[in-house]
Amino acid sequence: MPGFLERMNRAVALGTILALGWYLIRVVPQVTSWPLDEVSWKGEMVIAVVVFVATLIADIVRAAISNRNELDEAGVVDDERDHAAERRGDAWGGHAMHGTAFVALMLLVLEFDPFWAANTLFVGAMLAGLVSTLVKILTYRGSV
Amino acid sequence: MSFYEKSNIAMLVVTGGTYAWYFASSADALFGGSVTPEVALAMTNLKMLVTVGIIIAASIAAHIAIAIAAPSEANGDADERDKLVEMRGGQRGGFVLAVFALAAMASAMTAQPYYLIANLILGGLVASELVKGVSKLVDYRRGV
Repeated sequence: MPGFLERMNRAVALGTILALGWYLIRVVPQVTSWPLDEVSWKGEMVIAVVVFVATLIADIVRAAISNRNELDEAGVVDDERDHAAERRGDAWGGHAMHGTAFVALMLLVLEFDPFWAANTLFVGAMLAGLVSTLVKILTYRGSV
Repeated sequence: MSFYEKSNIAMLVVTGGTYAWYFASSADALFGGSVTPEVALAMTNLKMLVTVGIIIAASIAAHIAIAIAAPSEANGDADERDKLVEMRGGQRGGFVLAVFALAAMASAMTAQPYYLIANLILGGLVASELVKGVSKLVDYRRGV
């Protein structure tokens, strides 16, 4: 039976996939058929980021307002395994984010349109978040 | 003091020193408006390459010096404490980079000049490394 924090990680992973999937479905077809200037992406990116952040906040609030007994019953444990999963997942996500930032930096140095840098950062950040969450889940499952 | 702790201090000094020079010497071009955006981009691109060269050369020299000073330590694998300190540092650095990445995305959306977005990303990478280095330094000194 997965614990509370593990379930929360799954919810965050699902939120990330939905937000990123929705954004890509909206934007990628435009990129392949229209010039970059005519691609509508800024509003979509803001909405996807807001949805993602709202998912995170909702999860944090849900955890914060639960009383201690509820947390205990739900399997929330501030034990070493939770700390290890958090640290390992965030560290892996950090490495992925470093790679993303480096690619975005190179695109700007090579004077690609800022559209590509912004989208590299956005998609990369979402994927880094996903990597972080998946590593946490795998750590809980004992695979990492 | 272990090899990994000395290595962290060396990288902190090299990274901090190199990018302090980079941002101090580029501040006028970046924020003063003394040159055109095209010149600012070309100037900072060149300096970025120089800083990468400096960091590679300085880190190799520093690690050779550390290894010569204590050859037995240099051959040792990272122990559990080193790995934990590394993960905690990576976790904290990753958060800092995520904030800068969000700022860079917003800059790209609002059509800021290439060089500003590029330097915001570079600033994020540097700030993340410095936070990671300081976190590791504190964890090594205070214990985890």
